[in-house]
Amino acid sequence: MTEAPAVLEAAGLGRRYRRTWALSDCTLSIPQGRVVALVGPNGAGKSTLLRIAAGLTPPTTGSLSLFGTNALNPTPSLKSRVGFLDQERPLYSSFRVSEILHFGQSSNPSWNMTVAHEHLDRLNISLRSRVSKLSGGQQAQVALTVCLAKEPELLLLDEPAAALDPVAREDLLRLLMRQVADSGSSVILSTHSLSDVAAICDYVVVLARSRVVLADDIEFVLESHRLISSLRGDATVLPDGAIAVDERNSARQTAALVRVELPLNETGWKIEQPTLEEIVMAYLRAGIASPLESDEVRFENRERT
Amino acid sequence: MTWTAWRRARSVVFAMAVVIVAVVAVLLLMGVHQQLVWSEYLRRPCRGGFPTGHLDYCERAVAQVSNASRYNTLIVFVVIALGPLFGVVLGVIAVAQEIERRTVRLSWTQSQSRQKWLASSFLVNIATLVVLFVPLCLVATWWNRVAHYAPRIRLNGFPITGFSILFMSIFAFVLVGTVGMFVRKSGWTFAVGFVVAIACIYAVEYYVRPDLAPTTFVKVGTSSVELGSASGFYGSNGVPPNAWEKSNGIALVGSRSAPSAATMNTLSRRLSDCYASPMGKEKNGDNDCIHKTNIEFFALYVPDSEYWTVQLREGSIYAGITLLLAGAGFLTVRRMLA
Repeated sequence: MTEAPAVLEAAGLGRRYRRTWALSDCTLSIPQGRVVALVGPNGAGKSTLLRIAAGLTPPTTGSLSLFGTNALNPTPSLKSRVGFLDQERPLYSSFRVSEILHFGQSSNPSWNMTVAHEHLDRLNISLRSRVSKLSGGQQAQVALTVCLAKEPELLLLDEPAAALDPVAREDLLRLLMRQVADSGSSVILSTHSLSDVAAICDYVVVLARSRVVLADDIEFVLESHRLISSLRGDATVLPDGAIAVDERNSARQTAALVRVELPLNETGWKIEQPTLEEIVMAYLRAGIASPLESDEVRFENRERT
Repeated sequence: MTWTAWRRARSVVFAMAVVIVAVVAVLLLMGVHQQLVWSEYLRRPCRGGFPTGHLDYCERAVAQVSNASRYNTLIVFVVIALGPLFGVVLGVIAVAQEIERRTVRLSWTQSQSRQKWLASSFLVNIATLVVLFVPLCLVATWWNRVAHYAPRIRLNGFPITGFSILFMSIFAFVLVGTVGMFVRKSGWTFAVGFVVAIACIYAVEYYVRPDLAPTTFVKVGTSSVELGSASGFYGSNGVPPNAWEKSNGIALVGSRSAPSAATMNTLSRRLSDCYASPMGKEKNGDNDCIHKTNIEFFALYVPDSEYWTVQLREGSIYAGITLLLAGAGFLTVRRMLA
């Protein structure tokens, strides 16, 4: 049996706006059937990556394929397999909700009106309401409904829960997870909320300074990182098989988040299991290439000043 | 997609339709009234003039004509402006507004190509303009005739007759649609598009249209005699009253076309010298000088029979530019940022 092609594969992908690179040298391969969190600070390139994948923004460099097909000039049949929810959730504000659904139906051969009606019924959003009269959360739900009723194999969601109140946020994420469970779609969503990542995602991509610094299964990421610490002077060299991601020194203590390739021996370091949030934050603070990809970044090779 | 394009413009189109119905109503009311007062003046005893014995009656009749025509310039300005204005407004809604409000991100991520999106938008709006403006074109053409506003072939009569307004509106729509892809802001697209559309329409009217139809060369009398005309128009001797007189001047006897400006200057100088000579100051000196210098007066005009040729050619020019702009739009939309 041949392995299914990656749902998204990027090689050297970059996008420059005037002199600024919004995304740079992005190389990624995301397997099918995952819920992927795209994490990074503002300006890291999350939205740019999603818009390139949705066919909205042409890249300056590199290539991108979805389901093994070149996605830089997506054909209508490829577009029918991808749903995109923009960060700003653009909808025709003068339309009624029913008209938005009619728009979706007339634009997509695979449209499932039953799915759309069920979702909106569940959320008590009337089909007769004008989009401009809906709350921000309801507009987000309508926009998500348009994505889901296409029945896409890949959902690209740019901060779907941003600016929503906690109830609307939970409704939206629950709806999303139900759909994923029902259809087996792949999802790539950008978010600032690390609690969302831990709750609903099984793969994480961390972007910092327009580059991918970590991309892996969350389970594996948790397994392969450790938080180590020692009192100043007790240990100066990292244990064998540990690659520093981020380190913190104080007058009394040295602490580091390390990626481990071998079981760590007790060499005067206190070893703890970090949370996903601690791991992601360490990568974001360091803003470095993933140790898996860049072996030069080793604790012992760094000059201390 | 065609439904979406129509739905997006629907409320504005309804407003436009109300304006057009109002203008059509005004034209019909004005036209019926003006037709009455003109027929009063053109029939016996005035016959479009002031015959002795009926001076007071005919002066009253012509005053009624003048009174009924006082808003002609305004209504003509409104009718002509509606074409480019409505075209520009629909062009802004079709493209720039979608980009500015980011709804292209919704449209362009559905299961269809961007080119199909643009084609739907263009076709729906062009069809809308046809439906809106064909009735206005027909009524304005009728009004121009019954109100004796201007011969339809002339510069002031041509834009409000035939299908000129429709051509201008479609051209302005596609121009602004394409400009919107680059400007991306509704307000700026409206401003830039309207100015460029008006500049193009002006250029076609004054620099292209005069060369769109063959002209007729005719000898005219030594003095311009104004003749009463049953149509209500007046023309120089030799030029039909409903024709578009493009130029006149002097030429050597026997010429069959207008001489160059330099030749006309030479002939004019020669004639002036003769007028200044003792011969020119004698009785019948004017005619003697004309005879002596071997010149005659001529006029160049485009006859009314060329009207539909000019309409067709000008319409083709607008259609050609429109197709080029649309082609540029289709090329641009493929690689546009959303």
